[in-house]
Amino acid sequence: MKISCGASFLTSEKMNNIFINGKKEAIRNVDHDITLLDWLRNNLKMTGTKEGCAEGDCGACSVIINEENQSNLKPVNSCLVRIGQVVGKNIVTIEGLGNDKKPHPLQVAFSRENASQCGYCTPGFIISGVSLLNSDKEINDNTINDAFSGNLCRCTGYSPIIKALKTVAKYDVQIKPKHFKEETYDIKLGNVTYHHPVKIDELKKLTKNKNFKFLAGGTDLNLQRPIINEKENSIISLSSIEELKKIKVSNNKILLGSSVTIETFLEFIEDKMPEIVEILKRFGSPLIRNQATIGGNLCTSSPIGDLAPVLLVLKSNLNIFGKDGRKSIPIKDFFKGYRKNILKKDQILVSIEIPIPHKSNKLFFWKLSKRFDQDISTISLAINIKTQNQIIKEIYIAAGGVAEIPKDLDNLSRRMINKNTDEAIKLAIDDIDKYINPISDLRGTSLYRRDSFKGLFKRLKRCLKDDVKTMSVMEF
Amino acid sequence: MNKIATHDSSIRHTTGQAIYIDDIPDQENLLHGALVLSKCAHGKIKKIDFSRLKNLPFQTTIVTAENIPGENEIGPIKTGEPILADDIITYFGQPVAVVLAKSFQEAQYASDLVKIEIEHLDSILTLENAYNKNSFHDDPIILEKGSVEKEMKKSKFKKSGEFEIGGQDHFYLETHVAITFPGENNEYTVWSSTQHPTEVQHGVSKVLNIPSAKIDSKVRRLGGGFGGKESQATIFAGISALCAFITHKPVKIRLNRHNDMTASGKRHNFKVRFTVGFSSNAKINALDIILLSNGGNVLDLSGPVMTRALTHLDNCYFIKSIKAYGYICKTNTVSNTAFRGFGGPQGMLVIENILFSISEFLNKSLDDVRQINYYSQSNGLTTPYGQIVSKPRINWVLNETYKLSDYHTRLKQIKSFNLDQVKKQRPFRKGLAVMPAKFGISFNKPSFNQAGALIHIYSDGSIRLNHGGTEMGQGLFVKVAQVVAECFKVSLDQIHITSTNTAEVPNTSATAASSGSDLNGMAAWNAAFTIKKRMIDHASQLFKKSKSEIIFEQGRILAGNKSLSFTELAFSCWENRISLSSTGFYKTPKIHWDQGKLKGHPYFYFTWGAAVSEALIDINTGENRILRADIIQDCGNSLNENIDIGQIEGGFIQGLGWLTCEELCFSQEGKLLTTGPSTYKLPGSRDVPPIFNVKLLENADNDEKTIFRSKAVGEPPLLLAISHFLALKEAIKASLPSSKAELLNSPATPSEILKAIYA
Repeated sequence: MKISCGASFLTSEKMNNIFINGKKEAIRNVDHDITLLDWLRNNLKMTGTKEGCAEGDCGACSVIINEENQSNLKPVNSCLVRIGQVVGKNIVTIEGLGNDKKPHPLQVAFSRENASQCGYCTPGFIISGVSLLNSDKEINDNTINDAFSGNLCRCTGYSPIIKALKTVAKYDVQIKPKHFKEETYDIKLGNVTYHHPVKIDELKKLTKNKNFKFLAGGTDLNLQRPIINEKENSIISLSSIEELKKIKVSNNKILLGSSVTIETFLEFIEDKMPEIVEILKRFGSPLIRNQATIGGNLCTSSPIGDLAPVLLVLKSNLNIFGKDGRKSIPIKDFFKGYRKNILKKDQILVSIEIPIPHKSNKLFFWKLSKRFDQDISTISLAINIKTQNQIIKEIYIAAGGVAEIPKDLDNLSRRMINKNTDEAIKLAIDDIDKYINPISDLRGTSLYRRDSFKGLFKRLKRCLKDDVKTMSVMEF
Repeated sequence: MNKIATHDSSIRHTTGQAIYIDDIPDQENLLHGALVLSKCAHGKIKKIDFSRLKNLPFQTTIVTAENIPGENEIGPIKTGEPILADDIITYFGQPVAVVLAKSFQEAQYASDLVKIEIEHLDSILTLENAYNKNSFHDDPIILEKGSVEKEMKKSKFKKSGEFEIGGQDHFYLETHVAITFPGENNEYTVWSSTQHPTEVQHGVSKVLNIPSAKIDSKVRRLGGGFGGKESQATIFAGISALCAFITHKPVKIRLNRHNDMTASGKRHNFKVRFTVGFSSNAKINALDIILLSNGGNVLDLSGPVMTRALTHLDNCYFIKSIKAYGYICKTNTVSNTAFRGFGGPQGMLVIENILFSISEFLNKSLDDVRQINYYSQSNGLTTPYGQIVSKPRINWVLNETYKLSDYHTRLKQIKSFNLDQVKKQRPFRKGLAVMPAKFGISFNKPSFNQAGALIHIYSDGSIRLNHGGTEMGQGLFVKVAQVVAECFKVSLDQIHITSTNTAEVPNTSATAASSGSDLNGMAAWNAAFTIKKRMIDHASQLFKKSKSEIIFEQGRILAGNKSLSFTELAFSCWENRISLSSTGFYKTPKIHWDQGKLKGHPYFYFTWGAAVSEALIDINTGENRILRADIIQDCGNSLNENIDIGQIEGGFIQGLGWLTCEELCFSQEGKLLTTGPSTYKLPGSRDVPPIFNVKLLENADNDEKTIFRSKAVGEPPLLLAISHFLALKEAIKASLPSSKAELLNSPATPSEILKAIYA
């Protein structure tokens, strides 16, 4: 029997390394599913990085991935990184920033401002804070809250943490961690090999036997224990494939590689389609967004994935690659059921073609959740609409959290088209039960989902009337 | 005194160098244990099937209740509280067995392979169900004053209602963890993340049937406690000790977040039914009320939690007659436990909800309804449990809070904002509300109000401080160190702070009930002062001066024009065979309590506070925010202003979580569904009010003789968050003509808010 933990050994001849705070550390005696967090704490005895939840939602385990040619340091949750994903990479941990003899200025500021109480979350906040200070972002309440949206503190109530960050002068505290270049290569850990193909065509060979699993960012798959089933012995990482990492813009569309991280997409799209920014900023936290990919979010095909409704109403197409070649399909044909899609075992999503909507179209992307930041949608609604003299000329509606798949509400769109906006919205509200049939779960009752869905149409009406982009409690 | 000292460990927190239990380097032979949790709420164990562990390529050891050499019992108050289920499972997620292996991952993996065969029994999962089936942990706890029947009849108006108050997970960032090291001759050293090392010691002693003297229970720091590690830590420390006993090896038990949230107690959820009788000017004459709390499968601390809820029902109001029945429901859910406020917040939310209902009924403002009911000379100063509120600071804190928040101006602004929103058919509404608070300080059980300290001064003049309190982030260690530094007039860095250890200070109370610095600060002062007196005696002989002429100042000892450094005097004491070590002891004076009648003087003193919160809601979606909060808290003569402000800010935000976004969801089988931060949402940094003013009440020395006339601060600020809950109700009230704010249950999730708006 094959087990997926502990007691097996590195069998590869080649020495495999990870650079931790500029020091080369060999990967020894670990199985394929060990996380970066456990490796740091148990194997390297570096216990400054803490485990708070092991599900990527508290940030106590934050570390920085220092990519070559990347001006920004990327903080991630080390509990969601498998060691095979970061072979040859450079990591900065809390120990790499300072110690009591020679602390980093942000560590001093945290101490001075009483920004730690029990102290367990503190290293994670320092990692997120230093990453923000190292970025080219302006430092204000908004960027600070964005940067800390993946870090939970249960003691301080955050105020002194935010204050501490504001007291340090940005350009005095930037760090320039050393970067060592080493190729990312295939690595065998236990009985499982992590493959890191660079060219898409390599997949044809790698997928010949059926015993593999694709891995994108890993923020979903790495939550599962075990991550692969007993028959599988190979993990094919998609994050090094050049074609999947590209973003191209032409005058009428965006071609978005599936391995582009949500954070990269967010930075790219900010000036091109600002309507998407808010919903992308509420996608996990920077710690998640630096790791999670566009392709991963679509291919998990969760009904509450935040991207699908957006891409549905933008009438995006998906480019797919497999052993039988390439094809392109409209995104509405992609989802097949709860966490199911049309991809065959050997197929991957290569890229997404997003037509840039006409300037006269209005885009609304709304998400409702118990908490604003880093929460999973109770429902979400995406609308792409064009009106002329209060008549709806064009409309696409899609929703998350109202069915077992991200729901393309084309029936509703068709009924609303060519009608007066007020009349059409009233119709949507009155007949809501014809179009959605949400369930009750821990994120909200069926009744709430229905009532708030109506509420979002009321919001739509107000936004169109007042000609505003959105209408949210966050504006206050 | 250095009143602005930072937390003693702060630089080690920020650099990751502070050592928590799980950071202690593993010994070569250490075993890790993973818990096997039950998968039903109520059932008889037919068989625990470990057969799938046989084929594993690594070794495992299995421990169950059968292996317990002593008693399977750690009840903090009453018996019947096992560490591992024996025969009968009483909640979904109850620890049934432990699997030990060389690594955490192996143990965790193996524990998932264990199967428990069950004969299912009927389960009780809700308060309503428990009440209907008379499933209680004990007789109701009854608080009675005057004749409710008579006063109710005399009242012009009566109003009845009911509402629910949700529970809350502690979500300390460090989950439960303990390591036990076996020694020779049945000695055991237990390191655990506990607020109550003595209870761990007693629990281990009982489970292993070994006298307490052989068990050292230690903790340097906790990664957060909030009450969740008061009694609950003993379960997991007890399990680790049991496993160490069985294997003769050190054993670590660390719960992953999922197991921690599933298998450890939380804040009690309550259900409340009331009838209140009042006059046309809103004066409460009679309150007839039933409180149901969810005790869970065993009693744990539910009795005192209910007692505190009942003794905080009055908050700041004189209630002429009251009949309050507190039922602790016995259900097949995890046993609920202490959580910051300990029933107090629930009791106070109850009365504030009732006052809100009266205000709606009479169409008066909540403030007017309160005004007529406050404790005062004319209304009366005696609480329903008989203690006199000698010098209420209600008006004092309220006036300061009104000033700080510009309350009356903003009331008007918010009114016109809401009118404007209606006029423009826009979806936003605001509400503004104040919350005055009185909180009783002392454990209700008088015997818990004692503490000890142990101070050694070495011949180099360095001072080693130990006391019974635990450091869980609240800054207790630095506060107590400040007290000792002040006694000897030396700088704070001369005091070395050490781990809490039952071998150094025995028979301690839990660090709980906000009492940490009151109790341990005074005990440490007494220890320090005992040594200081000996040093003064010696110095007086040395300098040939009278004792009154010996002055300790800035690290030196002065006598007329002669002086010695503190170090020199310490050395001289040693040379002359004078003891430089002393214990110190303290017991809180004046308190007494009759738990049978619920009468007495349970609290040494009261703390006072008030908060004003501004809430914003979207009536289309139920989305909501807090836009501003202003807080005045009475900390007496604060020992450390920065640390106290940190407690206030943190407590308030934790209270906001309890009342808004933190929702515990269970399946129909009684399984907790919200077992991690992905589904259980505590406040994040963006949820902090953008304007957040926190101030201590100035020139407010404690009337009682506490350490430097300070006051306790840990719990009281949490319940000031009720101001936001009331502000949300005000906003709902302003939403639609048909909206019913009184339908709002806690937590006020978007779903709850929308339900009340479209009532």
